[in-house]
Amino acid sequence: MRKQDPLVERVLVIKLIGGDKEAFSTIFSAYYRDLVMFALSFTRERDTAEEIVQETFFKLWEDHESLKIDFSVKSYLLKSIQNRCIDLFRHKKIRQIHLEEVKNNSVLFEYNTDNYILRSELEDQIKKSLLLIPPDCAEAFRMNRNDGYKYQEIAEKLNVSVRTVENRISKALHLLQEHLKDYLN
Amino acid sequence: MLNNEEADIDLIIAKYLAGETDSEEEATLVSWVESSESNKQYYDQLRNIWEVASSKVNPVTININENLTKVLEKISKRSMSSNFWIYWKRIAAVLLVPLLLGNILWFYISYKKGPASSEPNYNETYAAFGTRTAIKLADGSSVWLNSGSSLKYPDRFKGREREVYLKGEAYFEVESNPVLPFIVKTSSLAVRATGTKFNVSDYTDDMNSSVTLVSGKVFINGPDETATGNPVSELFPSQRLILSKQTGELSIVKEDVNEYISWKDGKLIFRNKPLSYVIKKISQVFNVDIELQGNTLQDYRYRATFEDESLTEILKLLKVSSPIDYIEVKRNPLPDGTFEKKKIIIFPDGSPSY
Repeated sequence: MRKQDPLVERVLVIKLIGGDKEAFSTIFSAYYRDLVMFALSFTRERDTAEEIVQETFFKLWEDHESLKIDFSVKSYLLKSIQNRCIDLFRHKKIRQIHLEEVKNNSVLFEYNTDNYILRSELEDQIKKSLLLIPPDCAEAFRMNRNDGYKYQEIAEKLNVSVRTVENRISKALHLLQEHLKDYLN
Repeated sequence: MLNNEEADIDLIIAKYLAGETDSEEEATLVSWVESSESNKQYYDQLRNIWEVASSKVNPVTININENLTKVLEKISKRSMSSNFWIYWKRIAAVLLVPLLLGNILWFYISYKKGPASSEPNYNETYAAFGTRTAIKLADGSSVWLNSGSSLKYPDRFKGREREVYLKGEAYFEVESNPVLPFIVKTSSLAVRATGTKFNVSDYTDDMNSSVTLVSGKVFINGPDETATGNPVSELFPSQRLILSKQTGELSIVKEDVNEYISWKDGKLIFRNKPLSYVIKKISQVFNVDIELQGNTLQDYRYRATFEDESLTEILKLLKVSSPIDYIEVKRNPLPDGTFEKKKIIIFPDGSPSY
């Protein structure tokens, strides 16, 4: 359901309210991967992420009778998943680091989900934009995001200072945002 | 060009997202993000890009269908148990059962049905060829299985329907329960009843399946229809519905229903039935292949009642009452040591070929 036609989504919601399992399955199939990827940005554990997304869909079905017609599936799902992830860290105290993050920096931890762009909608745009920014910035950015290298490791591999890596990656991020500005708003 | 402050914030955001900030930088970032809505939005956008650009998990490896099935199963399990509750709540509301009585009732039910959380087990009963079997179901309903048929049924009924699966032919006497419809599913149709007596026949090798109603009322649906779907057809007593499995054509006729349910008492009743139908029935009951030679015999009609006669006796009776003769083909051994199905050939009396 990339860039889901609002009319199609409206019809699906009306069917869902009426208890149509096929509409439910369509919504599930359209959003499942993107939502697992979204949950992964909080939990970093795949099983937990999938579990949270499945629980959210289960709840969506349980609530189907009380949904409003102008209901936004995407925003409901994103919000509930985010809340579940936050609850998980608050209650289970799985990772001390994350717990601290949530406590002290909740503003950094919580997305305004209304503006979040799903992976399937944004991925291609990012790939294209990466070709348009200075290659050394794109390279450092990829080494961190794709290959998982720390700043220090990137500095060693590229034979530059850590400060240079910091500059390149933050510049890459800034330029990507400029390229994608229209898309993100 | 970026101005210095912007560049500094970008640097801290990137470092924070990469998990490389110290606490001083984090504090700077938090106050910057909190200072305006547009700062928060900018930070959210960078984070969105940052997360999406990561390929720790390849989305293609996330299995949609498998997990959809998982969630749907969880949903249907849940709805079965909640319907169970709604059902009992309704009864309690209607009868205004006092709390104590309700407790006793509940205790009795849980005692009778076992733990509410466990799922019912399915049994499957077969009636071997040449035999009939009677089954008493958990709800008190009775089922007679005809020769070569099987019935799959739960050891107790849970949820909002009583559902059983039939291959072949069976006669049902269903205990009345208007809120819990009884459903018989075969490969070609589904019969919904509340408290009735009816016969369902759907042998795999038959061209037609049929439902015969003795008393009460039944609704007929396609095999995939749920109990709540609009019925394709309904039957009244003494009516018989015949479904052509090839064309899907339905016909309803009024008949002497005894003819179609007499098998349960060991009787084979034929009322003005062509020989082709008679031998089909006989071959099902006795598990033999009967071949009919010559077109002239096909439509020869019979009126007969057989009760506990053997195959040989039946064939002899057919022979003396009509212009036919028959031979039994010698059975050949099969490679696994068993013998092939008994075969009988029926041909016009006095035919020179035999």
